[in-house]
Amino acid sequence: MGLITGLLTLPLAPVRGVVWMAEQIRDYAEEQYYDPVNIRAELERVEEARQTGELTEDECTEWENELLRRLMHPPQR
Amino acid sequence: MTMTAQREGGGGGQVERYTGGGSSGLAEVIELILDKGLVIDVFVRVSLVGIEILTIDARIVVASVDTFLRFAEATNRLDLYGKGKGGKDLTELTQGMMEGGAKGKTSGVLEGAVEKVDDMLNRGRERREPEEEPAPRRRPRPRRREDDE
Amino acid sequence: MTATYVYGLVSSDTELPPDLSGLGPSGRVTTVTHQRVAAIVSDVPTDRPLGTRDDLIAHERVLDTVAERTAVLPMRFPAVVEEAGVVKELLAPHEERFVEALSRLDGLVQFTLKGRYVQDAALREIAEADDEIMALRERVRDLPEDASYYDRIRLGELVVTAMEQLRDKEGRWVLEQLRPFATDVSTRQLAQPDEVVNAAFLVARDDAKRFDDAVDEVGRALDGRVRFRLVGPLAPYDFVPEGRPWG
Repeated sequence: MGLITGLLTLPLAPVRGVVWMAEQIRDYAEEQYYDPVNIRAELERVEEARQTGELTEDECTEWENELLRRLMHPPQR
Repeated sequence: MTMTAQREGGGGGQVERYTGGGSSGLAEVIELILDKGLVIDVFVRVSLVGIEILTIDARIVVASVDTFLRFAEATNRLDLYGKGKGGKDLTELTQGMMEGGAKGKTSGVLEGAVEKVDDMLNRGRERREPEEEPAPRRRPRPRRREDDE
Repeated sequence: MTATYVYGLVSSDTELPPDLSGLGPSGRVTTVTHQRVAAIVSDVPTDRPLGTRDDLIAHERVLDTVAERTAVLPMRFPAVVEEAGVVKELLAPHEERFVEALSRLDGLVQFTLKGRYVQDAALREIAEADDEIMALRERVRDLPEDASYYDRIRLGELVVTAMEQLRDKEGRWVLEQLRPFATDVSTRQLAQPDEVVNAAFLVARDDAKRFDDAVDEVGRALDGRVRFRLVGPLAPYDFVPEGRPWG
């Protein structure tokens, strides 16, 4: 009984805190996702995969074009 | 065309050569034509046909915790001998190399130094690191026997 | 209204190499001339936005093929103007400036040199020369991963600092060796601690072989410790006059 009462009277702040945290994580993830430095590092990995034959030419090109789209059209903040 | 496509570095030098374009990789191309080259006012004033102008900010990359952890891990994975003469010699020779002037003399000193390190490590170089080390990704490596102190 | 793609600018007496392939549907590359300067142009894809791998490579290939033979001012990607604007807004108003820049680049090509440590070799050298690093390494090996977190950061920091000091010295040395063979050098920012050199060299076309040999010498001197990559000849991307249109 006391536990349930306690739960019901919890302030909203922790919930907001969780949402805030989730937003921070998402923002950071997005930042990383669109970071030109990371995108370029990933492009180098694609180039490696192309050299070693790990991926086909078509697969590499598709991946690269996807990365280029990301590079050239980051979300406007 | 005087300089044609890739050729092996003569005399064992470790220099890869590319004439640009697809051969050197897209990342290379991007570094040239997105970051550099002429940008002039007219491209703003003239109406562009629905094409966005890109601004790729120059990123100042500061060594971060991720970088430290990555290098710590690489250092841990090494097979090392105790700090011995060999290591010192290379550092001293490197110093000498920096201060030395003549090209020929320098090459000789360093080639000697590299041979020394090779002897010391006494394993053929079975594996070269790939040219572009992918940043944070870990490579599974065979665990090597640890040397005694 | 027709869109025109501009790759770069050349002097008006330039003859383009025969097999240039543009990024537009026609694949053709031509020039638009105004008095002493000309723009290298082509049509533009109309069914999709620019920015595919093929677009980027086409842009670069046109420029670098032209640069093998003649001075060219490369445009940044993408460079689209209205057809009428090529002369009216691009060439005519800036002719003097372009002529001057082109004459400064006459007879010159760019080479970009990148060098990176062979990681194990550099780490070994650094670790074996430093007691603190060796001790910390031992410590970290004995601890489970979560317990060693801060030690690992510290270890990494020491290694990175040492490596950056070493590469600063060696990078400077490499530049000094090659400077005599180039008209100009433009260094780029080094992003990773194991990057030793990343620089653009402006080299006389006639001196390209000597420059190349000098790079080979440097490669030999640092064989086994630094892996080099030389790209060129290229259009002088790193040596165009600055001119940001915004900010």
